[in-house]
Amino acid sequence: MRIGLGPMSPVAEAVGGEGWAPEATVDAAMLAEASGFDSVWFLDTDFGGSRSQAATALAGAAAARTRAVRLGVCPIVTRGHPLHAAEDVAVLDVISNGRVIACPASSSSSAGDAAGRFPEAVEILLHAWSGDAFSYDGRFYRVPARLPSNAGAVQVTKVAVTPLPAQTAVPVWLPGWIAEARPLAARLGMPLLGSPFASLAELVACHEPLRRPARERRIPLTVPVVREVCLAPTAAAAWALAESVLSRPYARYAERGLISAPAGDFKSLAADRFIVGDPLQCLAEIERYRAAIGLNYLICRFSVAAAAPARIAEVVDLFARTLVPHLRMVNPDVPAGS
Amino acid sequence: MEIGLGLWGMQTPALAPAAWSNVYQDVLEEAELADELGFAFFLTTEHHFWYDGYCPSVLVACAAVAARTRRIRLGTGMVLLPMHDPLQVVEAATVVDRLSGGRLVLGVSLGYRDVEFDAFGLERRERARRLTDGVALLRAAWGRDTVTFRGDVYHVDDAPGPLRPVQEELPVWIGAGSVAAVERAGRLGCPVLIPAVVPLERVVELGWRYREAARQANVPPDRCRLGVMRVVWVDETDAAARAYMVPLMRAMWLEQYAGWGLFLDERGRAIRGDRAALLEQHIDRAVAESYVGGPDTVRRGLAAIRDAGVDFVCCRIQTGAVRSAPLRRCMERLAQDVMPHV
Repeated sequence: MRIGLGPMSPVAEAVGGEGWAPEATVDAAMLAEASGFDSVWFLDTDFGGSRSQAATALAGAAAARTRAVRLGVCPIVTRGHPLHAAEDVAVLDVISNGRVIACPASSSSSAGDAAGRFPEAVEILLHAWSGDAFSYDGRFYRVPARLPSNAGAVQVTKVAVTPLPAQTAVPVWLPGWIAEARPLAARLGMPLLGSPFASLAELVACHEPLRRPARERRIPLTVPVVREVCLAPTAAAAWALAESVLSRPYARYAERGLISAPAGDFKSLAADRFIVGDPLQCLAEIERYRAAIGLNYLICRFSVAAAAPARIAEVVDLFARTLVPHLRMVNPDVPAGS
Repeated sequence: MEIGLGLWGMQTPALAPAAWSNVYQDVLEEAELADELGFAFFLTTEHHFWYDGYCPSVLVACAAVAARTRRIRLGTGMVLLPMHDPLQVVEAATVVDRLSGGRLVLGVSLGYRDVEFDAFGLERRERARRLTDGVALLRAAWGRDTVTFRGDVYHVDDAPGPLRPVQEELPVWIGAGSVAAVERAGRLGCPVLIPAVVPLERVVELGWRYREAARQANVPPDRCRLGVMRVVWVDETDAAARAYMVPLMRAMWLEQYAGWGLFLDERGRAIRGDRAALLEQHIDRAVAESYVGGPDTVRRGLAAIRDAGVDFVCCRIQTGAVRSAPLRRCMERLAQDVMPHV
């Protein structure tokens, strides 16, 4: 199994302050690399009164301070023109010498149009990273637009994004929390990144349509899921910490309809959603995900560390010492390029 | 007069083919050296869809530079603001400001290549309105928890604001080479950076128009700072400097800027290869405006700029094809043999 840290997003202080300070994300990336994590993740956010579209910039800073760890980015591709997102990710891949995993995401600001825009935007990204000059005629995007007023000395009918990513094929995952991403993932054969808000049953519903054809065709499939991980030397300490850090933000997520869980009961919220406990309990919990959905890439959303940056070294160190050696031994067949 | 360095576009043109990843690694090391040597600023540059990889995402690159430097101001020279959503620019710029501890300078300019506007589905003729309105929106959003803005182009109602930045006010420079552009910068109260091809006597005239436009718009004089870009190269002797830099500079002017329509005739039409003799004259003039030589020659050139009333100069030592080893030697000579005397 592979292990990631994140996704980290600097949510504006005005809306609650549970996000990562930009400076802390770079420190976390360096720590994750030193602790043997496979990837660190950065997320654009645009929901519930918070907005930050700087995941690739944050990852750019992390790229400059690390050498090996992969950089996962979830840029929103429907808010601006997707060509900008394609360029940002390509530059990040070059800065990091080919360490990017891209998970293009959608924006609540483009709701209504989002269902149509998102698949087109993803197609544009794939064209842009192919190395070929291309044109695109969709319902929402036309590249180049060929506007009569822009006709200069040279009539351009195709564009080629440069620089090209350093990787010949940037690994692309799609966000499992976006409905329109699911059929796209099935059609394009891409992994779906499981949401931290989804329960285990919801993850099964999300991943099963991809697993069955992969099993039948004997194609290895990356099954990545983001989970809140709250690990402590004792179960009592872990649960106390989890409740103190997670109950308030997740209550807000529930109010906004992002989580289908009964309000007010932390144990019900945590069940099948958070990985909480001492090392053995956490391992057992992760094993449940492996058995149910074939989890082979766990991305740990250490909200505990975001809430108290001084504790991140302690949190990551405990995870790396107690869990990583075991997790490396299970589901080792993650496809190359992850 | 402040002396800074530019313009890093992270290119691999035909004259200097290289792997893009190696180029970016070199740039990070060059930024570290510029930081150590005490230059005032380090500017990256944006263009799109050019064969040599000209950097299209300067704030991503700036974030990487921020993570590897401590003191130098780092900036964009320029973000082509009309092609971007200003709110997205503010969000990324705030992150770079935070990562750098408040060292970001956001240079913005119009952009001029048809292909760039067309690829993004924008009309080039709208660029001036989008720039003016975009700068106003950048300022309205910087450091605010929520953003409401009613402009000529952009309308924002109660949108979430960006992170809290380090700098109380976002420093916005405007790249401008015409009367209309410097007057716009003056009215906006932004420092202005005039391109390398503009002769010094014209810089002086544009500087006067810039300050006058600011005065008429009741912009405080201390908000106006006149900057100029110059291709600069220092070697041991004039001959050595010219032998290395002049061919690279001519190649840049010819392949890149002439192809893009930067050189204009008296009627404002782009001079391209179909008017080769006229194009050659313009390139000769651009080369003549550079300061390429031994330390004495470059000192005299920069002193002339200073004496013309220029507040800051961006020494363009990277034309796109300059290799890292000679670039680093030039930076050291500039810092040790020229800067202390200017």
